[in-house]
Amino acid sequence: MIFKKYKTAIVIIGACVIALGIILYIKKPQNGSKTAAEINDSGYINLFQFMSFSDEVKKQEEIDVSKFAAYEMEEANMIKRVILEKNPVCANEDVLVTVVAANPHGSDANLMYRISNKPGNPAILRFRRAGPREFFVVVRDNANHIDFRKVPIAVQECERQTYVILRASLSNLKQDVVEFEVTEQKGLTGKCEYSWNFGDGLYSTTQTGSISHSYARREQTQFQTTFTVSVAVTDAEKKHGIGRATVSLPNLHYISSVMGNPTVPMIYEQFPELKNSIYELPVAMKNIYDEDITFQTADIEYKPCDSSGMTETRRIDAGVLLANTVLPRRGTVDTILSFDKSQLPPFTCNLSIRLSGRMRGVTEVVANMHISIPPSGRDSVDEGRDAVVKDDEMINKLNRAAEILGRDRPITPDDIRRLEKEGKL
Amino acid sequence: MKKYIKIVCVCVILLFASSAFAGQWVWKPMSINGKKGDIVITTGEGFIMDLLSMLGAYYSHCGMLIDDGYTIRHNTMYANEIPIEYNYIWFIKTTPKRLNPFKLSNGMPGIITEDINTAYNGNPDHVMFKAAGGAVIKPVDALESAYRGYLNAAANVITNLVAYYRVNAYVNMFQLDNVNYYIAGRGNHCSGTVWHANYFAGKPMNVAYIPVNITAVCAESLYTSIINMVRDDAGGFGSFILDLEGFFGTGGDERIANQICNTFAFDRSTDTSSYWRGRVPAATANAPDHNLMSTYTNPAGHNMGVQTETSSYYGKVEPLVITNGYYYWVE
Repeated sequence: MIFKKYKTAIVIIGACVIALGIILYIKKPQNGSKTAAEINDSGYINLFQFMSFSDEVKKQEEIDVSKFAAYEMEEANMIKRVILEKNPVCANEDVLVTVVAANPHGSDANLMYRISNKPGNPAILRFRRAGPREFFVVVRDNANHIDFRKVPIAVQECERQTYVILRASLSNLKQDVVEFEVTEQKGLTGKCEYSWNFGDGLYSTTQTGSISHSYARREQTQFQTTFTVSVAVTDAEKKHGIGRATVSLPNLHYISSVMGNPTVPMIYEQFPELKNSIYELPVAMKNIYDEDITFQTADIEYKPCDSSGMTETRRIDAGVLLANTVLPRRGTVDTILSFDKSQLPPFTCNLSIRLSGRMRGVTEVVANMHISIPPSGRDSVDEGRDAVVKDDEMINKLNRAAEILGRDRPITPDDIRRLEKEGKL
Repeated sequence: MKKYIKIVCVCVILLFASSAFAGQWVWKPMSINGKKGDIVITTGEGFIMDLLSMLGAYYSHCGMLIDDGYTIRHNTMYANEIPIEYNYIWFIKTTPKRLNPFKLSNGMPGIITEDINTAYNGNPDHVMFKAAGGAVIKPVDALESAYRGYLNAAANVITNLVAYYRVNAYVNMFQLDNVNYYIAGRGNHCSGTVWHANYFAGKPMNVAYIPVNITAVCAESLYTSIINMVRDDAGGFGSFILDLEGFFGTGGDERIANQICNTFAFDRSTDTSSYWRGRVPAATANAPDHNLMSTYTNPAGHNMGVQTETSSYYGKVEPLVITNGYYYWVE
């Protein structure tokens, strides 16, 4: 009688219980799992996490710390002085911080600096809000010595007519490229002109507050190189303000040589140009060493357009590939890399080139390049990875970009962004 | 009549055929110079970087390639999406109380798979990888063929791992399970996840031990860094808190800095007091740099790696090269 009256409710409750049982069964850790013992207790928390939170210490895997290598650092007295360009400083004002340090355990050239959240020395800092503030300065050597100092600074509100805030950030997509942007400017009106000093002897002028700059041709004589960059902004009424920023780049090729594997920075574009069945690509080779270098061989990996296909490898004389293979000490050589289209394996889309040579005929030096050759036909499309563009708006943009740049060449997202900025798309 | 129908049909077929083969734009995805199982390391900005730099680290994040240069899997947390909790008087929201403790302790999205374009060029609030200064860690040339199978196995493991991002793993790395679902209170940080992928595949790499005198300095630096980020609106969760703080004088920035330090050191994510001061324990955990060989000098000038030829398959560091994606036209 009762069953008949509440039949529907009983069926629903029964179904829920069965469903919960199935879920719990599925969630149960597999026997033999290495960590099953630990997760037996906590494995079901996930089901109810929306309404539970525990601050308890969780059961952890026992570990014998002594069996692992220890990384011990020692404090050492290395920081002698921290020089603030000014103190107190106004909110939103650039302040140059310079650290004077000495290395009692080796060469001062081996010291590495971090000032607040900026690597390098000196560093430009900026505080947006007034009040007593502090930041850390850290100095390390290339062994296990470290020194740090907490530096107080007073930040106050000031009546300032103009200021410019410059932001520098390492490129997400390109080695050695830094992107600069004026993120805020006060007291400047109308159309402005931006005069950039990149700190490496190069300058530029733009009508917009952003620019990117490549430091690929810099000298590499230490672990990192720091540049102080400034932008002078002038408005239509000739009022002007200056923004500054520091940027620090790792010298990966120098580090590689310190590790016993000297490599040569190569500056080139991704796509070669096809001229009369010959692919040509301008290349700048930067010798960062104190010895002449001669490239002798080139190992080339020909990667097929279909990424699941087999790679073919060939070794040729470097002179067949490059017009110039000799790099004078500390010199930059601009040359042309060229290869015959007919000699490429069919359906090649990527070439990885490893140039090998010698310094003073003894030490091996290498240079790596990665070049793309866009697929030329439907049979070169990588069905597994490449994607046909179906978005009409994107297709229109690509068609317009192709009219401007030519349909034979590939179009990169950078091209699209640039043309959009120029108002051409 | 039939004749006309046939002609129309042929015309329609030809029309479709011609439009289908009239040519189209195709996107070739971005890739990097790595293979399945290689570790990709990157430098960055933010309080994790500030913390790690105290140890001499140069790199702030890492992940593992799960194919030959197109897709990366890594463990990350979108710190600027952690909700802020507020105090209430009756039903009126007053002052900021803390970050949501659960979300701070168990960071989301945790372990994720991204194509290279998304990892390096996606949503600016989520992008963790930078090309400049980046590197790929792989076996030395002589051992490439011998080790690649093991690295593929590690990549297969990480492909199936699911877990939260746990900031506390920077102090104790041993809290990741070989399962494909989230477990509250379990998970890891980026390099710990890579370590565990190798571990579950049968290769226990070396682990760094950071003594108390150094972790204490790291905690102090972390606290200062967070205070500065909150006040200078540079950390993604700053300005709103500070505006309220200035109005009510609640010290919200200090509470949040304390809460984060307590979470790092002890997983006490509900605690906004200065409990951590003088109590920070030694750490047994790997930062991204610790995946490097002990003989490698990182761009910060340090031999921070703790790996040896016997503990790790990864003997070679190559500067990262991105082969940019592009659109091409095919007829």
